[in-house]
Amino acid sequence: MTFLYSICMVILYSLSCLGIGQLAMTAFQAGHRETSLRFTFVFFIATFILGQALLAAIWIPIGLIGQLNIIVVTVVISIGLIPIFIGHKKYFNLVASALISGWRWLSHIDIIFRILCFGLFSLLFLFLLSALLTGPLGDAEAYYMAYPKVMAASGYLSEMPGIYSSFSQIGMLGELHFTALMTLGLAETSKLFVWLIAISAGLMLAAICMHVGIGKRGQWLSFVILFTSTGFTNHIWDGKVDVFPVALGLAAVYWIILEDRVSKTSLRLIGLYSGFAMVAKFSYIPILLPSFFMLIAWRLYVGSEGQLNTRKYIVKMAMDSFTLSLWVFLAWVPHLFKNWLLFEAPLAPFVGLNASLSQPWFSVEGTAWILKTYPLTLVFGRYPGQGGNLSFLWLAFLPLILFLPMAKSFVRSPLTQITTAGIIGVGIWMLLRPSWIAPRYIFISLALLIPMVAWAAEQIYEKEERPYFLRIAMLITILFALLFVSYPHLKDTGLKAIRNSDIQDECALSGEYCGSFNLLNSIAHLGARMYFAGYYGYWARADMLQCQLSLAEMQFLDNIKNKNDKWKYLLERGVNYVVIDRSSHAQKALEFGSTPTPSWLSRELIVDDQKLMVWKIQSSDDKRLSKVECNAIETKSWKLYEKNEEVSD
Amino acid sequence: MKINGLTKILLVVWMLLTPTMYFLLAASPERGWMMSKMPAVVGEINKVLLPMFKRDTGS
Repeated sequence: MTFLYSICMVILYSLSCLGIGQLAMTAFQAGHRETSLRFTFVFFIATFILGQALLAAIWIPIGLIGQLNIIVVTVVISIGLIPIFIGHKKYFNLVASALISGWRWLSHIDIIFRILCFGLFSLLFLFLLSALLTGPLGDAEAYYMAYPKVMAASGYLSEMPGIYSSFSQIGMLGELHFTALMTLGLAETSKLFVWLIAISAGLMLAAICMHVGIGKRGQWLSFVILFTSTGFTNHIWDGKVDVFPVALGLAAVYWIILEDRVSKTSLRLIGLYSGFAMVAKFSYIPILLPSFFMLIAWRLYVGSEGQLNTRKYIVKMAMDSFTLSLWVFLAWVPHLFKNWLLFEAPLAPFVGLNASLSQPWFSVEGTAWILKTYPLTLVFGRYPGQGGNLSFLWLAFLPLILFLPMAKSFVRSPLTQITTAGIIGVGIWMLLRPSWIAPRYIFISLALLIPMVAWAAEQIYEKEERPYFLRIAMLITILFALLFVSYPHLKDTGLKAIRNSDIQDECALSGEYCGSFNLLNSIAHLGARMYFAGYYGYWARADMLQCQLSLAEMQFLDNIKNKNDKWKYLLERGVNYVVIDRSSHAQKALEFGSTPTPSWLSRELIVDDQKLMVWKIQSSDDKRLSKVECNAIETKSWKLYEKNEEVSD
Repeated sequence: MKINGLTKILLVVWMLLTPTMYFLLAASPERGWMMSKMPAVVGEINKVLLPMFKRDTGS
């Protein structure tokens, strides 16, 4: 029932995104009746992608005034649903005709390719199951879903309590969607929304392929390459938000290549899409700006050849750049506003606050090795923090490009243009962040490298003469890719879900922190303060997450040398539970476990498992009590209050 | 599309090599059965090979 409710809510929420996107597109259309805004299936997908970005932007001011509650969220979603109710026949016909034409094509291709396509459907279904059934993982368990949990519980978009407080400065899209869905009663299942965004990203990539002249089979192959890239797919179900900018970036590229000469309306849309993509992931700022600028300049040059002299070309380019920048800025306004209000530093974390954004991940030698082994390292690398790979299908089919027929004009070929934009994006990243080997940071650029390879694979597949060795090898390789990517989901989601169907253990598919925190949650009173020396706090109760020791308090504690004074400080700050992740803070676990406590403090070990050690601490001396307490006065938002009475030493 | 036999064979080898490489390098170390057994396999091989090439350093 919970899962069914989650699915229904995510569908309604997505329809609302579509409706909001439709309202925005209608506003664009009202001023500019141009061909680029024709109502097609691709337009439908692009509208949804724009709508979800706009909805995330809407949640920012609502969150800042503390109104992220079930009533306001329901009202906003209902407003988004109005255009869908009005135009439901049109939408239904559009989706139905797209599905029917897709089905017809599938039923007329060779049986083996058809089986592979159904293999892809199975893979997508496994991603859906993982997104629905598993808990957040890794960074999502630490921040990307823990922060929404706090926001949904308090109703406020405010600074994240605890060790990740500085992360509140980054741009947000997915986090706000999770928050909105969590206010409607969804918890971990809110990441199901990412699955729909991922499908939209795949469809945008297929649309780009279609527009550059790649056939249906090539479009399917591009889809397969994308969805066998674990650098992309890992974030469909783990609760991270890296898929959002990919969908937005690909929508921007689609609009860039849609017309020979990019119209003003398209420029505005490109500005919004790319602006939101950069907000969603800051790593795209240095990548998208130059590569998209190059792409637009190239398109303008090709589109206006012979019509514009150099001076006119430069003037036109300057005007286009101005329009684009203006709309990129508009997409950034909610984020800047949030940072201005919360941190008095709109340009944080870049300007105004001390945040380290450039520390290298590896040594000089390690970084040199990474650079030398590009692009193999993208495909086969297993570096700490890499978080997935580019599909090996991309590498397997890459040499097939050599056998493509020569294009009439490389300069005029949109396929060459987008591939070059992709190469430039990856190149810039290699220059600026050589040791940050993580496909998720540059996946828009990596996705732009897929169509060329998909086209080559399509050409060879369809035009190979007997004997069909290459065709067979391609099919076997695709089959391996589908199996390799499916296997962890079959094992870690499918089998575990079946085994757990009788036991009903809510933590069975959620990692080891779930059980440990659930035990603590069942013991701790409402508003209990914890000192959490660890990263992965999602499973702690929302009030405890809000009441936990702040980053400043933790830093103060770390600077206290005397062990007795540490205990004293913890008590003064109203800490009830010392929670230490023994895998990441083993030294601290040893320190707190072994050092003797002062006579006036009692310490009781209440959780001691593989992941966490939790001590309950309390004063046995009435004179030594906490100076602060965590309360929720008149709201659901838990805050620290200084106690009036003085505590004598 | 005319591609000569040798080129075809090279392309087929390359295509099948990539999933193999992926399996060995990226997909398997912790979870795969093959790579997880590799240290033990190499240990067994060493047990046989090392004595054969052991130099007498006692004198």
